[in-house]
Amino acid sequence: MDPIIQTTKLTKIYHPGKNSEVRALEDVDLIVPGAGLTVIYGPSGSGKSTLLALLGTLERPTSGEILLKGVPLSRYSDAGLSRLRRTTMGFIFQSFQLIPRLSAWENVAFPLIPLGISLTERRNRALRLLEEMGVADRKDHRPEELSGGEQQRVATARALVQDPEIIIADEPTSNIDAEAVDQLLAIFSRFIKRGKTVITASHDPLIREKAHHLFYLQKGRLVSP
Amino acid sequence: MILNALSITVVVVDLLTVVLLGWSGAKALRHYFRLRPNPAPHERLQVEDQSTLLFSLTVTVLIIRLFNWPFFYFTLASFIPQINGAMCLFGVTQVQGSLTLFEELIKPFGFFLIGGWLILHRLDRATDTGPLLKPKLLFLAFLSMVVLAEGIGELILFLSLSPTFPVSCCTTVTDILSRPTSTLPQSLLGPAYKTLLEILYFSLQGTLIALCLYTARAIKGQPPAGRKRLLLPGMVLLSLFNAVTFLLVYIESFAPRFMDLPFHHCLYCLWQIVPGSILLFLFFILGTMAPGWAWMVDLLGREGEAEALTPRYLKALLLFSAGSLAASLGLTLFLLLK
Repeated sequence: MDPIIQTTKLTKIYHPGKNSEVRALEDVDLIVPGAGLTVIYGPSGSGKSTLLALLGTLERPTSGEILLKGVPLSRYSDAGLSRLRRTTMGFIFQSFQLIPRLSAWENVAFPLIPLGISLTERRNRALRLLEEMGVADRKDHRPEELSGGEQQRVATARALVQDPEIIIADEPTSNIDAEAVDQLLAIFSRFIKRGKTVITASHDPLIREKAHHLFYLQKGRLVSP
Repeated sequence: MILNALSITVVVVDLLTVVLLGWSGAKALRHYFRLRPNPAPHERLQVEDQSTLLFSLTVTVLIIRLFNWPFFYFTLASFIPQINGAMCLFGVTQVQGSLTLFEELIKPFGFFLIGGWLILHRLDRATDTGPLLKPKLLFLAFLSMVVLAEGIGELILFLSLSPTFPVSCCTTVTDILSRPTSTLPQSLLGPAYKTLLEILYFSLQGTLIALCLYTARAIKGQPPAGRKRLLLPGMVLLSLFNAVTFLLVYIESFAPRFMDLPFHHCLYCLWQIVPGSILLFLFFILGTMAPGWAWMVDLLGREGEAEALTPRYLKALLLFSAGSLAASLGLTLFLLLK
């Protein structure tokens, strides 16, 4: 059986200026065999966020290949990748990236709009997840009216709303307290029990302890810790 | 130039679209030659990054240009009171006769190409791998040239139209005995040509609708193959013949009856006196072009992953064609029986 995600010689080079280049990732060979919590850790600037952006198809590699269940992602067009993200992946960002003008439930329901799901169904699914996350009483509040932990739970609910195969979470615990970290890990654990995958970049030792697969990045390369 | 809100809008839109389409046409051609059959990820990334903007911009400009065709006639109609001797659109078309004729001929062609490209683009976006990127780029380069010619021509036309130019009324051309729309069918069909034209028109409409429905039904998850593949080009040829018949029967028979002016054959006057006929013409144009778009999808859309989606598109286009032609036919019958 093909691993859920595999990368071969994955390289990403940025060109911030005309004659300058930043080699954010170099020849990364990584295998995420299947369901579970995969944690990528390493010092700041080691390329963790770049790797997550590539695995989440938000960016394309300069060279190398990413295989999702054995299918090379380089074959996909931009529109194809968008569709793949919409149906297969959920994202949790470091600073949550909730839409300020929308209420908590509208933020959660937002990824369902391009899937053509009716408003009633969108609202029902969002409220069910907010209930599961323990923030149902904050459903009509805007992000600025929520605490860091509440925003985190709304962002997690948004990542789960279309029942994705994979959750990509970039430093999901950096802006929340220890109690909220425990809650997030419990949510991840329930998600993984359903045969799903969480890939996260994190410095948090609590998250690393729970990892099924652990990768250490240094200066854009995967190395032994 | 005759200044009014419509003419200023047309000129501004033309200026913008000419610049933008010139840019997108050149970019499309550049990308086409840069893109190798199996590009490296970074090569594809470069082309895709730029073609995302290119296609978003192009789709917007092309949709505006689709509406430009009817808008062209609305703008010309707004000049009627200013042109000395003009009583309908015909008079306005005489001020810059050859340039207006060029615009009237190239606009339907541009409309057809734009519609075809937008359908191909939609088909390509519906796939995961975007196999139509290269054909789309080449098609866009060609389409841009056609629409550029149309836009530049329209700019020159509107900027050079002068209200001081005296013109004649349409009756001096459309109502004379030796008008080509009468002499040509008369020489082919004889003195009863009007009745025969009507029979031909109704038969052709019925045949085309039936053919569209039959072909749409015959497509069962697979694009037409073997002899059935000839149905689409056959329908395109029949549609072209149908378009000529439609114009002749309208000029010679239906227009005078709809206007209650038995000796008047001007289509421009028909649009003015019976505005409902504009809708009828619109349905006819869409119904006539749709088999052409279907053929285009069949020819260019059989690439990689897109091939599996073409039957659905062909079916939808043929049903759309049948529906539009039926609507046009229904409106014709309604106006005849009224």
